[in-house]
Amino acid sequence: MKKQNLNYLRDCCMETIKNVVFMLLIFLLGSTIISAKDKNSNNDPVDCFYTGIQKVYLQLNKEVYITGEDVLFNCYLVNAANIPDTFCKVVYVELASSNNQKILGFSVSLFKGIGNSYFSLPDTLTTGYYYIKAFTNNMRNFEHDYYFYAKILIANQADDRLEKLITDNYHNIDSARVLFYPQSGNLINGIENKILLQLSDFSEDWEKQSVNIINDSGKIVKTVIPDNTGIGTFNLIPEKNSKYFALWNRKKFELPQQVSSGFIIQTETDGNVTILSNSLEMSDILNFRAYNNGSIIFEKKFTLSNGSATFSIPVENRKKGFTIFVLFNSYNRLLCKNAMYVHDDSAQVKITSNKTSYKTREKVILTIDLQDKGILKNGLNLSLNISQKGVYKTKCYTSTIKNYFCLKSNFDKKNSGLLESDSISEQQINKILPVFNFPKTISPVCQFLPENKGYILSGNIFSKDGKTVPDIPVYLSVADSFASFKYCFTDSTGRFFFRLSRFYENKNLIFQARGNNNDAVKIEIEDKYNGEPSKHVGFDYIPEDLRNFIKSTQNVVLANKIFKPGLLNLISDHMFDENLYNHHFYGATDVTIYLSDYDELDDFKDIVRNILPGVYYNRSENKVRVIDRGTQTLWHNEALVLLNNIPFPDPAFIDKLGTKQIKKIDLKKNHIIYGNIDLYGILSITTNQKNVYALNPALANITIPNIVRNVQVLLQGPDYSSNTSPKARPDLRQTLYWNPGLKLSDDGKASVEFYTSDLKGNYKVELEGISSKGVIIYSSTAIEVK
Amino acid sequence: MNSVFILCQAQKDCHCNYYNVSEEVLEDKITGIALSDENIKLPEGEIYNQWSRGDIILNNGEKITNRIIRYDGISDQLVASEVSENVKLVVEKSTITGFDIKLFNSDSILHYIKLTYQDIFSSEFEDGYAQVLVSGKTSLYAVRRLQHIGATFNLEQNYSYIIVKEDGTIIHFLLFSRRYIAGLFPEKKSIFKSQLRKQSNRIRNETQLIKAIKLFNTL
Repeated sequence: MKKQNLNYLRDCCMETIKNVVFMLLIFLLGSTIISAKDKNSNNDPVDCFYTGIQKVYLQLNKEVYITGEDVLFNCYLVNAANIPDTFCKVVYVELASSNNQKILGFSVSLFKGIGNSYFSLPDTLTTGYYYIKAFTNNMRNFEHDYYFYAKILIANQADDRLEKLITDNYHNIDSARVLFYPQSGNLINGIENKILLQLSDFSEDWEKQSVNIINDSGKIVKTVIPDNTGIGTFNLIPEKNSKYFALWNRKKFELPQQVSSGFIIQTETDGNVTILSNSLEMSDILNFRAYNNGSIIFEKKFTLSNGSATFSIPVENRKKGFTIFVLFNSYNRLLCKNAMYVHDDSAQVKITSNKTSYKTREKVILTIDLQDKGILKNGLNLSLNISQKGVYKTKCYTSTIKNYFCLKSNFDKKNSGLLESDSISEQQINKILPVFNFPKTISPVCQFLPENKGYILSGNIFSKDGKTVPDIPVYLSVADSFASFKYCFTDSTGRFFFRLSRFYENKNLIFQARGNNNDAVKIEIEDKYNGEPSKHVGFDYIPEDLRNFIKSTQNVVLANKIFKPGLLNLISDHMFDENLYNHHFYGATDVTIYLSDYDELDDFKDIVRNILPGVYYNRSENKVRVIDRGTQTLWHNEALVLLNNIPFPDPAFIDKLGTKQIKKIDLKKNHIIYGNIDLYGILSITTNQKNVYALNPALANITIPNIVRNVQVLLQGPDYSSNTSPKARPDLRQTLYWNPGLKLSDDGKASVEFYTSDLKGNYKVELEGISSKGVIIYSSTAIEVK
Repeated sequence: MNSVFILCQAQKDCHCNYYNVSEEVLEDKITGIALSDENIKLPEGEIYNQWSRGDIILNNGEKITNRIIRYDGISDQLVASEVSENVKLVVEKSTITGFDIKLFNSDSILHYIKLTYQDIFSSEFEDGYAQVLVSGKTSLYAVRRLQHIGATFNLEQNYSYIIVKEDGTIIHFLLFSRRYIAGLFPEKKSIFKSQLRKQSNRIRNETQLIKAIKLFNTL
């Protein structure tokens, strides 16, 4: 009995232990599940947001130029949140005529989203309006709404167009478009959608025209009057299976396709948020979050009542800058998103001058004081421009950084003049322009690559009958003191790519290719500058006061060209270390022979026979072979011959070179592997005369210049503190000071000193900048020189 | 908000992934002299006896990543293996600034750079690879060479060290002691010595040498 009781007790204990262990396991498993769910619910959906938008802005020193003048510019590349884009390293700048013909184009290297330099206007331009465009390679994948356009007036003293009055009867209607941005991304039928529309490519004559929204039976459902920036908003409850169009300027533009169900987030500046939906999920518990600068500023769980909900974000939670609103369901599925930008007015800079009015050649002292010192911690880039402002009602459309990045529209015609010191009206500063949507792609394939490590140059190889040729090597070289040699095999579409380092800046790029079986092929390099539609109308009307200003400016520019009163200080690019590119691609040479050490020999065959050890030259086959240093046997394959560091020279040309023409010959005898191509020795010929290279006619070749503007500019003007400056030399500078890299001290202050020129008039002092957190800085004042 | 470039929805619709072109097509290439297998010695020693993965840093700053490489301590050369072609090549020293090599059977990565230093015995200047031990105001490197013992095929480690001072002076030495190392920094000799004594830091082996240089960098 006792034994039975003991066994029973033992069994009970075991059972209890088993139960306890089981419960423990359940508990642990449950807590794992719970904590995993918590982990999921804390997943930051901001990462799923796309910041692929890039916006470019160029600050120019003036907007009216005379041919032959230098255009100074400072470039900012930012993402959708106005934060400097540190990913892309290259911006392309193009000067185009009013009918979109490219005049000159070049690239600018960026450092943390900022780049600056200058370029000279050709002397041969005719008087008229021109565009300065800026874009990145990546922006070319999408519609060109985020391209930067500045319209400038260039006058040529030699032509008489200035005297002619050309009426503005030329309107490029075809490129005018209406763009639609439904709030939260989609047009949802059955609920009230707020839609932003933007007029593109319009002139000021059209601003008074309204836009009618019609349905597919032609009935007007809404009338929108855009403001002077071409932007308007309207509300619409789309009916199912109905199409809607915008009628503007006698053309029809279709609104985006509708979806049958979805969610909409509507936000206002006063913090009110309205959620609308006709989705089946609307009865779920929804989670709303607002993000600013990567952190959550507001969160709310709620349910919809009759398809809508309204709540308010408290004042203390609202932040300036870019705020993203996200809505997701109880399973953390993203339902919709919206974004809003509120300009940060606290980032003000005060500019004070020691006087308001100066004499000619008098010292000006400006004090710059940043109100919010906290911005300095994160990094700040400032640019100061002091240029003459003319009294004219200009039709140029250069912008300021504030009204460019803070408003969706590129242009603000009211503020295009240089008359107002703060060129944005209060209404527009406080105007909230939600970024409703992102631009659509125009092609299904991402053709143009973001250049995050360097310039990417691409092209195609075509056969004689126009077909693309895959899998053949294309070689790239430049004539330089060091041999550089890049190659790329064409892909299945016949396309090739090269990433160019800083070494290739401002050099002539030589491309060579040979088809399979020595077939003739053609190389075409992709031109990045072509293809964009004309952004603006091409009217040439120049009012009289502007013409008078230009005439006076022409004399000034002529005088400056003759007397050159201490102009640009060119600052070399400190980021570009030339020492990184001071070696041949093949490394050290085995043998170097200087031909001046030897007797005169007439041709290359004699040189090889008498001077070059271990080299075999077959004149009839035009092949050079070298002896392997290791095995002392001749390589079966021919060696790579370079003439002044360019490969594949014309054999007939090489044949005629004698000791008089050749300076030195470098020899490398080993079997070299470069990437995955084999080189059986290298023979490099350097001639006495520089820049001599004769390309092999059997290969297709093309030479293109790679123009890069990276030389930075600082314009401070001459120093008139001593009396030794010759007064007989006039100083008619229109730009008194240009510094694209103004530095503030730790207390947010800077003092700028410069001397006025002999040119009397009013000068605008303009300070623009951007912090690494996306805070836009703009301030301006004026001084007078009497 | 993260300012790193993130694919936009439109680009996702593009079905493109940063690049339509493989990064390999765009990257710079390494150049080297092709070798037959017999030329490659296989010396014993932890970093020498196996091929390993690593990155090669070119002169222009570009990195060729994840290549199969090994360091040959006898000839002081970096050898890369092109697996697809089964070809090995000695990477041209003048075209690279250094390499990172993963220690076999370990997660440690050894960083090597190319330095120009004076040979201890011949006083000639040469370019050679050195492993980075301490990087800072004053840097410490180890030259991991191997040499044959007498006329035999056996190899022995012939490690020497290089200190690069803040002013750029390069000092190459074989043997060291606390007195010797402190003597290399006359301007801070007394304070350096007193700190070493406080921490009872003798300098008799590489580990202690590393510790001493790190301590010096804090002075």
